[in-house]
Amino acid sequence: MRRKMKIKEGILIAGGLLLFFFAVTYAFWQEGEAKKIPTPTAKAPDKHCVESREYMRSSHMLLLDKWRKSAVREGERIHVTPDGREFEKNLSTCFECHVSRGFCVRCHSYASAKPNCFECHHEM
Amino acid sequence: MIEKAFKGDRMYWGWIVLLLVIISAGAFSYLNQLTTGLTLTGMSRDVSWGVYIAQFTFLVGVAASAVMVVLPYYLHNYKAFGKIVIIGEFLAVAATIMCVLFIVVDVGRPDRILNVMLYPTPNSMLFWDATVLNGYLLLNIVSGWTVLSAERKGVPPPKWVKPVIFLSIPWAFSIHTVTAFLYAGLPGRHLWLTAVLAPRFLASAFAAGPAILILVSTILKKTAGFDAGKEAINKLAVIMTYAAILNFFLLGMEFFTAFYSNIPGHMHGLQYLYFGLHGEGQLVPYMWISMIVGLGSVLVLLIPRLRTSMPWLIAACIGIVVSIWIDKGVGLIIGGFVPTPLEKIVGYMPNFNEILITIGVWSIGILILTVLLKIAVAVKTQDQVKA
Amino acid sequence: MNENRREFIRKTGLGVLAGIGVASGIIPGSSFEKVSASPAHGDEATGVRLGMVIDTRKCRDGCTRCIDVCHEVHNVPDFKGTKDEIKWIWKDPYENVFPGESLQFLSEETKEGDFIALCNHCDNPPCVRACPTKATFKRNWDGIVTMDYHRCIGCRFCMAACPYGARSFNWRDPRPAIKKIDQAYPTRERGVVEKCNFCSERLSQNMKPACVAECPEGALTFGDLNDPHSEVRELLKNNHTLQRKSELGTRPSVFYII
Repeated sequence: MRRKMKIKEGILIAGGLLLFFFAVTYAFWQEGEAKKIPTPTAKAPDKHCVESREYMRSSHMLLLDKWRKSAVREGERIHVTPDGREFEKNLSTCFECHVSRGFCVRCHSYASAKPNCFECHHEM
Repeated sequence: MIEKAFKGDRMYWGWIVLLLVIISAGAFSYLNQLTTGLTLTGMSRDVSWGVYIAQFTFLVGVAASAVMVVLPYYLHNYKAFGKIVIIGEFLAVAATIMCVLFIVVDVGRPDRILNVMLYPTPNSMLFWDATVLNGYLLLNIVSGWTVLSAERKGVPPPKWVKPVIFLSIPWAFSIHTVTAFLYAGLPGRHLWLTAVLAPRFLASAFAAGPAILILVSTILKKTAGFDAGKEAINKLAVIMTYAAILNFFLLGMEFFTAFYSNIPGHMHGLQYLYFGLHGEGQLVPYMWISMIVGLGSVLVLLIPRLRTSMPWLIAACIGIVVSIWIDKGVGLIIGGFVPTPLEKIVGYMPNFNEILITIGVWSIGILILTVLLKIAVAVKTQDQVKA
Repeated sequence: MNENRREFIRKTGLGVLAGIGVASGIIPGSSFEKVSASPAHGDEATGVRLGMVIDTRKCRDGCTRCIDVCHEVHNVPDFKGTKDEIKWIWKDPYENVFPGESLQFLSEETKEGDFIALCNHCDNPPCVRACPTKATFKRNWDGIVTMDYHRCIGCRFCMAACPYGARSFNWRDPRPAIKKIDQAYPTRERGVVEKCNFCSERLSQNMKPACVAECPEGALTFGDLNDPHSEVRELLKNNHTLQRKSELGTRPSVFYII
């Protein structure tokens, strides 16, 4: 009797573990490739952004935060790139080249990033 | 030790469930406020703090008042407080948690509240208040819990806890002083701009706190059969009497300075609260209830025969709590904002949603107190059970 | 409690504490900032201190041009009534704008007229002293008292501290109450405090504050109070002026010619 209970319990535990294992690895069982990352382009693709494309892709939010801090709190409103070009530290500066808000939205929605910049800035 | 909170009779669990129901109503209302904004309160750009900050102020006093049992017991070795001291410490814990919660529900961006620690600003009294409150919470949890768990094992408490307890004594005074500094240092708010604000806060705290402590002890005696002892209750009543008299004395000082000097700005706040200003006196009836009930209770407390009779004492305790709650938890905050810096009378009435959140926070505090006291009583009465 | 378990908890706790300690030193945001909280200028004039002189004799009754244009360019919402009201600049009777001043035997004009009120950009601002996060601070390069909307926690301590009622709180989402959103300036989020910023966004484009530029009567003059040759100083030299509640020691940078 007792032994039977133990076997039953064992099956239950093993089954549960299996189910759990399946559930957590479910994503890797899917066939196929990831969707292609959308690559939005700026209005004037021949011009250079304030930093390299790679840096901007990965760290534009850090740059924007740095801009915000130095412009608002220290009054340094002009960003000078290493090659001597000057930009006003303002989100509107970005939109001069990256004309449509879709430029931001497409990547953000792909990466499921939900920045709250547009709660206040630059409504279209 | 926490397991002791899970063993209770039907009444205990009924009480817990009731509190949980009220807390969920409060939590729902808070969710409402989070998604819609503080527009769901009665506050406006003129009366920009309301019932939340008022409760916070009152409860800092309740928290600080634990020192009125801790100090005699640990510093003067006053043995009669042996059983009540843990109630005082746990009351302080519950009250401090409520204070923190009232701040959280009051701010517009609770998601950024850690900015206070991330960008420490020593010139802001709110920074110091957050610091001393959290410190006080920690001190009381540590000292209360450690002493109680030593008692459970039947061993003397570890030596290191003594300094912690001693530190909590000046710390208790500091939390209410800093809370008074939140108000007392602001130019242009005449009702608050007074040097006796901190002393008055302490006096009213040491009256209302022991009153609540007596009430809690009475409830514990009725429901859990835990008796803090007649001597302890009587001593607390005496402390409360002196503190209440001091509170009304200091209030009298405010009246004298304002009205004898006859400076309009200094009179306006008190005029608005107690007599009405420019024909408006939203709070006048409440302030007089506070005054009459408070002075009546002091009268009862002054007569030894009444003070030592339980029904009279309980009535006086309720009277003192109500009086000080109105005075400190309503009048002081609203009276600081009205008349406004532009000498206008602006009304304030808490909204339904705001009241539900307030009751919800109170219920969280009462729940915490219930659980802590359940544990404390279980430990204190364990010998009786075994015997 | 089991001895090992006790030891484990103790060590973990110490580890966490040590971690917090180390982290607070490493994370740059958490160290004390350089922006001084209230660098009140002493009696001697140092650096730039932007200020305003309001010639109330020129200000026309019933005209609200300065208010309208300010609220337009800064996307200040218009909630009808006082419940959720937000305002940066407004008009009120003499007794409300100057409550400490004598009200006896006032001239007809003063008694009846409306006076402009706005943030005084105090040299010694109580709001800055009160703010627990330095979300409001005095810019040490031009004396403007400004807001960092990204940092404000919405505790409203500054509103209690301001003796001029110059600050407003976003009790609800402001966007639905803005008639036409001006893209040049951001809107605010629900839950933060806002106030007049002396048009610092226009100053950086070498423009005058909107209220000054748009006043049809030229009643508002803006400039550096610390520059003895500035237009504002010229006006101060030739006219008797008032500051609101000067007895509070806040040293307002807005002066009134009555």
